[in-house]
Amino acid sequence: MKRVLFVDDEQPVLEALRARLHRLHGKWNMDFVHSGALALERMHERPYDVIVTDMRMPGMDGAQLLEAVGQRWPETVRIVLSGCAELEQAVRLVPIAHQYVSKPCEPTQLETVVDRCLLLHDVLNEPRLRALVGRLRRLPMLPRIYSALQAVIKDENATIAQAADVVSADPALAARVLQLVNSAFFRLARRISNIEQAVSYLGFQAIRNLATTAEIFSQWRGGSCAGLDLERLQRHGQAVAAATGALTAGTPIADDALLAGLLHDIGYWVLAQECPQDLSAAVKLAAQEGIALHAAENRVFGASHAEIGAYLLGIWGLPYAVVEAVAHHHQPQRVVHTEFDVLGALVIGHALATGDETTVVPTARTPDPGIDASYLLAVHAPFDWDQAVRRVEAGRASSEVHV
Amino acid sequence: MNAILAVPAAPAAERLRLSLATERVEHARLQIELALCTSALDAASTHFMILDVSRSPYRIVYVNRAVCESHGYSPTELIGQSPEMLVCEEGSREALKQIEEAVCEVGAVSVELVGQRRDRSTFAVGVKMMPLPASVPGVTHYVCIGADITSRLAQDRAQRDLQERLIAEMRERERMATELRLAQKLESVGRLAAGIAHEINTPIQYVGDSLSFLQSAAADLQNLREEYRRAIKRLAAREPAEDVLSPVESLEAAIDLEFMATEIPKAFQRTLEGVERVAAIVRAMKEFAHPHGTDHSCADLNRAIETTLAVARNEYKYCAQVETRFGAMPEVRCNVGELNQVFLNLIVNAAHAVGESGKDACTGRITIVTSASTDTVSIAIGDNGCGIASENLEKIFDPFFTTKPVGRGTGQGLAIARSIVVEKHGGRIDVESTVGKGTTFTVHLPIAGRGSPRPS
Repeated sequence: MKRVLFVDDEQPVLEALRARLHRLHGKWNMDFVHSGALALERMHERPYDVIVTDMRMPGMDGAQLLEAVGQRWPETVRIVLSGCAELEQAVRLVPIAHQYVSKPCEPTQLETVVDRCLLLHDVLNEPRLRALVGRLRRLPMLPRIYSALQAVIKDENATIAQAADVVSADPALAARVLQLVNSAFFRLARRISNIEQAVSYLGFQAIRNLATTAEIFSQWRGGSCAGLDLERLQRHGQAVAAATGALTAGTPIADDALLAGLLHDIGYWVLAQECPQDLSAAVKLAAQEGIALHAAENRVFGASHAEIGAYLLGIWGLPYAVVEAVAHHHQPQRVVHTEFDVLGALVIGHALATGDETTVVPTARTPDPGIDASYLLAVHAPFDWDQAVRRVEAGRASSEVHV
Repeated sequence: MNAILAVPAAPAAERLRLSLATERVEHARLQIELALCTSALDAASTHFMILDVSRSPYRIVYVNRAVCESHGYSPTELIGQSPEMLVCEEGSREALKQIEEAVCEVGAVSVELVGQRRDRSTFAVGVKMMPLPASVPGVTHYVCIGADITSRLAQDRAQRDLQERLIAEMRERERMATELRLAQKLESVGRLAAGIAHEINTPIQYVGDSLSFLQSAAADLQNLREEYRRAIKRLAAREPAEDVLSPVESLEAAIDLEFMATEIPKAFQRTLEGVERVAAIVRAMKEFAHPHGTDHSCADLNRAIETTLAVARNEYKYCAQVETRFGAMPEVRCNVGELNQVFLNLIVNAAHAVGESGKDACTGRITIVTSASTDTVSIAIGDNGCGIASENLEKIFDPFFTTKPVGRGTGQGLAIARSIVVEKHGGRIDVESTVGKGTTFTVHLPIAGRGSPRPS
């Protein structure tokens, strides 16, 4: 049984949660404490799978508590349940929590969020995936540019010039970022000719994401395996990112959706470098049996590129929403949605962007099953199917002009 | 003289000689007197001029040195000439007309003229003209007493300009003060809004959770009731008791009847309490905003402080406990909405000071003491926070003075508090502070309101 710890300085909040969640006592083992110090004490006695905490509390506040928990017990899922709206942005930026639920929350929202976190936790801790990852000689490192730009983003007084300097320090990287900005998916009315312009047009986080992706792909070693090459992987990532970007433009999840699009197949990067023979075997198996490639991968590796990629991104400390979207992008039905999020955007963007594209490796493409109008409803998408198609095509049309 | 007296002479000639001599003496005396008068007039910086006005144009009969020097002529060049050569007609027409009229009526006149020098440059001159009494009746001469008033006029103009600038500056300051007050009010409203949202979200969260629980509990109890009904029917049909009771008991266990029995009353209690908490906050907000504009009316300041504390709870509850010691207070004539802002600013400052000193809700303390004397009331808001350095103590009421980091207030809070208390209510604010120990701000207000004698 999963163990969940609730922390809130307001006794009535805890008691009401305890009463409402009593129905779940067969599924979760729940404890309720009213301070951060007590929570840490309980964690020391026996770690919990999930901790749900208020932010503003006297003494140790939620941020301090989660930071301590994150360092000492990284396996524990950290969720914020807070009524303090101004903290939400800060929490998004500094990933001390995996999820943020604002008070007052919908009747079953908290349970859904906890379940979802536990699901991802289970997927990434699946013994066969762990075994596979354990076999890998080495996992790629998170590009340094990510942490360098992240430091700039966290600094309240950071200027555009500072962010631009970080990127421009590596001229080759800067050139690749500009190429991405101009060629891919941003429907920009004019050509962006320097990084500073790019930062001011697209924002700090978009540039961080693009620079990180550019650097990841530039680290590519070795040639093609099973017909998988860098060029193809990158082009596919960009096409999907263009679609997810078009679907989320102007919303707070746009930056994460873009990053998820760019990196959703990063698992192939690991597989092609670390176990090329097995990947070839999976490709062959998919062709022979007429099954989807990720299903064949599951048979060969015990996990697919989706879970492996998510595992890598999780280790890198990329935003939780991105890790989750990448992990589930081939099996979105296993997730219950409470609002339109990065996973929904990635799945829909993936289905629409790759309609006429080949897959990353040259196998027969199996259409993403069950991704249709009813899926849009299930993920609370703020558009219908036709609107989604139009948005994605508009994005594609304009990106072709630049290319 | 001795010789004259000593030697007698022929009587007629002697008399003539004597009178001639006397006359000569007299003449010499007069000449000396005239020379004295002339040199005195020449020594004066005031312009003197005598005009013969018996016919037009007038003629200059006498000028002193000041006139000559001001205009750049020698006396001989002026005497016998028309005074028109000393005046620039342009700009003096009105004055010249006044002079002419005055001369006609044999009256005195004071005018300002534009004087003209030999080189045709001009200067301002003030002139007083009076008929000379010796020549009345049938006046023929006027004396003109004048002065170069260019510098005085310039001074006047400078003074006027200065005055205008001062007035404009005061207006600008007033405008800025109004804007700042508004900005500060907006800032405090914005900060409060976020705090109040948090204050309301918390009870809404547990009211919602409690109601969800009650809803599912009601459904469970409904099922249980149906199970009981079935059991009654089956017992009535004389079915064996064990068979009948076992589904009832298992349902009771499944819905955890024990838990419900204890939790349902608590859930109702929590719900009512939460609704009351929200209602109290909303009431406090309404009172705090106090939409009475600039009106001054009688108000209970203890109550106003309680309202402000309720609204600002989120600002201090994580860093300090608030202790209130309210004395008996008469109603005070004031604008309570503005005073609420003063209390809010002082309470928020106290909370920040306590927070900065690293204290928390257990060790931090804000103490509010109210008291009244015959004609004033005092509200002391003290904290055990970081205190104010003595070099900053005199600056804290200056607009824009702040020691807080950017983004933590405009530095207007105390300036505005001071302006409201001192200027709008005729009161005063005292501050006492010890670094590391804490600060106390004391607001003194006249009970009868603005316009009554200031509290000393």
